[in-house]
Amino acid sequence: METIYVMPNWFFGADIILELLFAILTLAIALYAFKIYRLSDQRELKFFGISFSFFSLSYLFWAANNLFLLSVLGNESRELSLKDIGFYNHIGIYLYLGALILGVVTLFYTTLKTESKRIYLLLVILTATTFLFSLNKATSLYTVLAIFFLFIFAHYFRECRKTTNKLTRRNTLAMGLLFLGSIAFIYAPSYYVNYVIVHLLHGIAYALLISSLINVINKHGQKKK
Amino acid sequence: MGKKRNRLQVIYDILNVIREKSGRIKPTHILYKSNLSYQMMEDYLDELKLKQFIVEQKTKTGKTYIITDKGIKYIQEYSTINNFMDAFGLG
Repeated sequence: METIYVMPNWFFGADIILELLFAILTLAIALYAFKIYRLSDQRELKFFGISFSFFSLSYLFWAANNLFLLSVLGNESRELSLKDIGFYNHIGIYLYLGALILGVVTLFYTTLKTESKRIYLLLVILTATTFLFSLNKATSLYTVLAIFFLFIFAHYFRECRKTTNKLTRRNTLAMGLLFLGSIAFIYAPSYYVNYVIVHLLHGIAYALLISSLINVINKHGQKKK
Repeated sequence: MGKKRNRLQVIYDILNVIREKSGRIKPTHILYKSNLSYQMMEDYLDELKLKQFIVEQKTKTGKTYIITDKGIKYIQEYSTINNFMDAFGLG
């Protein structure tokens, strides 16, 4: 199985617009995290920024793949598959999945609050290996990423219980939706409705994250006045 | 007893103690005002020096710590830093 995902024809175009929008939103979160990092020198912020930069890149590559590499499967659907495209076009898919792996692993590593670079390297290599040497590449990789998202969500859930901050709750919900999105993605190579569900869940999750960011920026603005 | 302070709060408290003493302070004053053990205070001061929030000056009477512009900026932006880190589960 070399299918990365299938999607309904009617969703083509809308998905690319959404992916570009997600790329902008994740980049905005990354840039603000870097801004706060410059002020505070807290390494968690640096890794959080790096993680969202990778997410932004992965959405850009995803949109580019959808624009140039999809194969039409009859009247109903299109697919992104490693088997129907030339060797050099594989690079586009590897860049997309590479950025996605680095984004998820970096976000998970941030929640570990460890300073061991070896752990980070091990996580990246193990995840990449899952994709490279598995016969059922997409499903294996998406399953591993879903497990990472489960642990990320668990971290946010614990943080949420420690505080009364509404924004933490909102972002915990967002991480929960990203986790559900990663579950839906496991079946995206087989069911095209899942591809739409993933976009829907990501859309709500990023709307929540960006509304939290706007809230933080507004508070900052009010303080300066 | 109050809620346990997180790292950001401890850093803020140390920097604020230095700023309140006209930006220059001896470690014994930091120890007294920051409510930390000696070892923890040393660890925090090493970190703050590394991050250039403070500089250490050695005088005849011992060490003195001076807050830098970056340290003052941290105090000014502390609530934004804390809000962001708390909201995004990084605190």
